[in-house]
Amino acid sequence: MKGYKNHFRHLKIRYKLVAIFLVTSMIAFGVNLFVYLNLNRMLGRIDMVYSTNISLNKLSDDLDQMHTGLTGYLETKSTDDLEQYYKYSQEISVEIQELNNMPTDNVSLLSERNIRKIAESYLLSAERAVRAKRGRNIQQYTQYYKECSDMYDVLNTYIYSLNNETFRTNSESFNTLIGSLRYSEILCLSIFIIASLMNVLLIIILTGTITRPLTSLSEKANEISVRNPENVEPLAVQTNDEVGNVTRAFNQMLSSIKEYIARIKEQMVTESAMKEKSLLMENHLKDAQLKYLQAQINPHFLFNTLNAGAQLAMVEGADRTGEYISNMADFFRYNVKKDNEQVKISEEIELVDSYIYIMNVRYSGEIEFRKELDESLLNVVIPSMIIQPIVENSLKYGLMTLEDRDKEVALLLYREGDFACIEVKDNGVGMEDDIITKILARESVDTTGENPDEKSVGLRNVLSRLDIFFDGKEEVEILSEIGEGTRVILRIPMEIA
Amino acid sequence: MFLGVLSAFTLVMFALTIIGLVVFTLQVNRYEASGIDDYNTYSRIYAYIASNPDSTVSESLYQDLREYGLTQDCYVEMIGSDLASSYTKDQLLDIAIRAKVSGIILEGDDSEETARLVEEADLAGIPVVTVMTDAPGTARCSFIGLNNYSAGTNYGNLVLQAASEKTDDAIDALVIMSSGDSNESVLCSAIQETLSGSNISLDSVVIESDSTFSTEEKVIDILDEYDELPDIIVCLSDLNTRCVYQCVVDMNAVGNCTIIGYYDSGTVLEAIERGAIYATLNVNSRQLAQYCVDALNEYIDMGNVSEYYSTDYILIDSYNVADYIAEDEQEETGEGV
Repeated sequence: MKGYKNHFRHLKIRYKLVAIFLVTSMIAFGVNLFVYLNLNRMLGRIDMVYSTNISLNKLSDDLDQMHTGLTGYLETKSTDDLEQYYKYSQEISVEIQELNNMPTDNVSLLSERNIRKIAESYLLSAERAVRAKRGRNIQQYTQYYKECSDMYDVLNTYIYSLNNETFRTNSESFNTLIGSLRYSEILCLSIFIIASLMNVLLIIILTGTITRPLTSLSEKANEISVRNPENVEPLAVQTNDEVGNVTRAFNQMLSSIKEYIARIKEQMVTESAMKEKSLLMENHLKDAQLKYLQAQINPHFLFNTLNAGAQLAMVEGADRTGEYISNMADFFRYNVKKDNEQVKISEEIELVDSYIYIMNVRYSGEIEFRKELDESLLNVVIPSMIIQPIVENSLKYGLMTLEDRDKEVALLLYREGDFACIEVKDNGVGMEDDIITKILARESVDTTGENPDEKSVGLRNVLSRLDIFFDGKEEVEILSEIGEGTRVILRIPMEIA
Repeated sequence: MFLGVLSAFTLVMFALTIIGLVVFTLQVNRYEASGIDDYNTYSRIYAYIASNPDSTVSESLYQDLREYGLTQDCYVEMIGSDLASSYTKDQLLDIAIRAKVSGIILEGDDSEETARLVEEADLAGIPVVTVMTDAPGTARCSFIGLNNYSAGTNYGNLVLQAASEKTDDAIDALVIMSSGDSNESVLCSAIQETLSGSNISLDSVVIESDSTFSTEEKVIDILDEYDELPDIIVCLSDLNTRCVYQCVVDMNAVGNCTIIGYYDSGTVLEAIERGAIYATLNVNSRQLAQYCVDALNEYIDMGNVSEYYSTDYILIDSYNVADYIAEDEQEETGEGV
């Protein structure tokens, strides 16, 4: 049953409707056929009611005809009468075979038996009479004819009595059957009404399997239109028909809408984070620049004045002075120009070159600056003002107090896996571990130097900006031994750069 | 919820449809099976031919014959009873022979025609037994008769008993016979023999009913001839008993005239209960019926049978009448059911 139910549920709507029509039609047809056949049986029975009377009447008529023929033949020996006698005696022989032959307690059947037996005797006596007539034995055929006449009278009485009895019984049966036929009509009408009602209910139930999913779908669509689609649950697919397909598509659409909304939300969050990051970056840069400008003189002013100085030195033939001033000017120009945050490493290295030149002039060429560069990495993009502050720190805190040996600074650029490594190495006094830890933790370094703010601007600012720019994916390593020097290594993830 | 109710309702409708169809089929089958289909068949059929088929004795005997016959796989038919015309006993005998019955139970007589027909039946292989009255000198195979001498003695003793309860010195008794045949003659002789030597003067009269309603008129005529009704009247037929009883009641002579009757009809039993009839002798029809059927069966099965069977009468008086009344009522109720 459940199997049929499931099978029906997965049929196409067209087949479902055909199935509903067929089932209800078959029920109606079956009930009608059943009732028709039974009523037919009843009508057949009613038809049979008077059949016994008809056959008895026929027997009586045939007896008349035969007796007339017998009498006529015995009177005149007429061939027609003899023919009539034979014809009807033959018919009577056949007809009495239909009558009961057994002793029974049914009065009518018992009379039938008596009629049959007496008729047999009658036929025998008649045959004997005819034979005696042929033998012209008057006494004998007169005797047989008398017997025949007596039996003929008795037979007629029996047939008449049986006819009356069966007619009375048959009339009762007929009345009963007619009465039952009327009762049956009412019963049939009731059955038809009940069966029709059942068919209507069946149609309602079966068509419900088609319309219910449609109604659910419609309600769900309404729900989506008035509520947030994210809170709407998908519809259970109950059938495998067209409505089932539409429901599946609807669920797919609902799922897509939810996914789309989630993606938009995520995108908005990302955009917001990016914007925040950008603002933060800008903020830090501005902050660095501000701090730097506060710490230095106005670079614009310096740049302009230094340019004027350089031109003057060139006019006066002081080439070294001119170059020095020109480098100074370049240094400050970088600061002025590169207020945007992203630069190539090559540009940063140019700035470092200018800075080292300046510092060598300042410190009488004590600083030995060395570069080992992987040129394929020169175009890697990094935030501005990253390398120069590190080099500056090396000079300020590592090399300036060094007196017993040469002051060496090296700038290395090389590849290490997916990272571009920028390493600033000096042979200065080195750094203590706690300071390294603080620097790496982006904390302020409490120094006793002459200008603590400067130092803070230096490395902390550099590291913070790197964090923002590379989402903390860059790696910073500071290796130092007191008295041996310091190595600051920045590992820039190239995929982001 | 709605769907559940709908489904349940549909199932109910379905069940009702099925039930309706089943009821309809049963009804059709019932009517189809009604009527002539309800009957039993038997291996033998015997015809009972009575001298007076309408008499209560014959009717009672036929009922007992039929009932006992059914137990022996035989059906006893009172031939001619369902016919529209009336036939004489000889005609009925002829019909039974033509109808090729298995055997005939005949209330015999001594007519030649009867003897010829019994002979014809015998030639046709149909055994004939006579009951109550014999057909002497015929080819009948057995006679189942009543012990009339014994019954006459019983009647005589009843007369003596009734006379002893009367104060008169001279007691008149009248025996009313219905046919004066050998049975009644034997009865009458036995009564006379029993009363011989007593102070009872016995008279006898035969009332033959030559027409349908003549008996009652003749009874009145006879009793009117008496200045004083006889002290004791003995009736040897059922109809005579009822007529005499009615006449005595009409003459307001109940108590003065003692009636000794015949047969156990309802009227007679009621009269005995009330004391209007002194006693009655009844044919033991069950025993008669049993002997008849058994005799025919034995003759057919064995080829011979005892020529004479004798049955007794039953005495019904005020002491045992209640039993017979109860039995009568029971039978009526049984037939009613």
